Amino acid sequence: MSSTRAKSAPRTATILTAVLLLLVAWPEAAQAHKVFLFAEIQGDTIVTDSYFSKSKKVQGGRIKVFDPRDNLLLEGRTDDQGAFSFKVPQKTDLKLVVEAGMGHRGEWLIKAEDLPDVEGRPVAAKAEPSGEAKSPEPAAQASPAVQVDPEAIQRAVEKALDSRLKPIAHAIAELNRDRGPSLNEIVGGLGYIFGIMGLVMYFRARKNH
Amino acid sequence: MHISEGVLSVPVLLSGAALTAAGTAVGLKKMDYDRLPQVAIMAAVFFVASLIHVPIGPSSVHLILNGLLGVLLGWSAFPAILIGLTLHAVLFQFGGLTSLGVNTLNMALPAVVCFYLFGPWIRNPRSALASTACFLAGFGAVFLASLMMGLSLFLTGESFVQAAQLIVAAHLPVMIAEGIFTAIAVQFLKKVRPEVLHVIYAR
Repeated sequence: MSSTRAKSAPRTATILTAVLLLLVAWPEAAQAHKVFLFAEIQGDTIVTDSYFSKSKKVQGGRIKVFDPRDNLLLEGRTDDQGAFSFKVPQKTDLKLVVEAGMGHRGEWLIKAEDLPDVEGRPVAAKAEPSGEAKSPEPAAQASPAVQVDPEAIQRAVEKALDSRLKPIAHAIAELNRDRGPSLNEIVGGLGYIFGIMGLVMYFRARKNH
Repeated sequence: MHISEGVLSVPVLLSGAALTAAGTAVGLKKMDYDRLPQVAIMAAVFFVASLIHVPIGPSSVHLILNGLLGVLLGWSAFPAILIGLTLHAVLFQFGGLTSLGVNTLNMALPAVVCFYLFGPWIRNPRSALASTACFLAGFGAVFLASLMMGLSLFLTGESFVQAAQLIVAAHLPVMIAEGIFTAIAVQFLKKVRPEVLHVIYAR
């Protein structure tokens, strides 16, 4: 008994060391497998950003835009910065898909109500398209008493908000999506593997009794 | 190496799932349950290895270690890889649950092929020969997996030569890295725990 223990100790130790070494190498690692697509609406243009990780953009990836019935509306390729932009094709829900080759695929959905009217006139009152940040919206309702073209004010405000909120929208998107596997998930996964092993061993041991 | 959800056509997904189920059944049937901890440890190593990432060209690739699993586990590589990939899909959203069958097949079948091709050489007392066999197992498993991946994409409509060329080229550095890693790992195991190799190749 004690001899088997002594024998298995070095093996367990080496394997644990190997696993730990792999874990240590992990922070550099993230995001080999998922591709992210992020889109934002700037005026009547949709600007997309596709990336594997913060530093690794999707270069020459194929972007496809679908309507709600999965009809292809348009497609294009990302540039060296992972960017691709296009005019809003129609005011319906849009599904954006990036195909980055080798089976990598990412999606982003745009809701119809976030899109401006296609005719070029900005849609009323709705200043910031991304639903998460709407606190500055009251600013968009300019006082009607002022003797200035309210539409001009609205456009100016929208433009200013667009540029101001862009970094925030980006940050939110990255918080939501650009998250590599956390240590918790990795350790949890290892736990599942050994848990399954334990279960199988338990039931086999019972059967053999 | 993980194909995402929504890329492959339904027939490809279904046949992948069916073949993976068959391979897993064979793996479980052939498994010596005294070696279950070893299978679990290799599943854990596979699970973690995919987090090591090598940025290459237009895409990015990562260690797979299916060759190492193949030579150490034989057919049991199927259940080990299936569990590793299931956890990848559920915890990290790498690949996906619908493409799980195809992804498992793409990585596990080359592992089994390398087990039969190179396994018998690995116990050869001449260490140069054994190391070469290990290198070829690590290299070949990723090479075959790349071809299988190209085939999956081809069956869905991409041009095979183009897809396969791209995937093989992108994984070339990984093949070399895996070949070296497999050779070192197996030589190390031979010194420290030779019976790990004896058990599977004795039968």
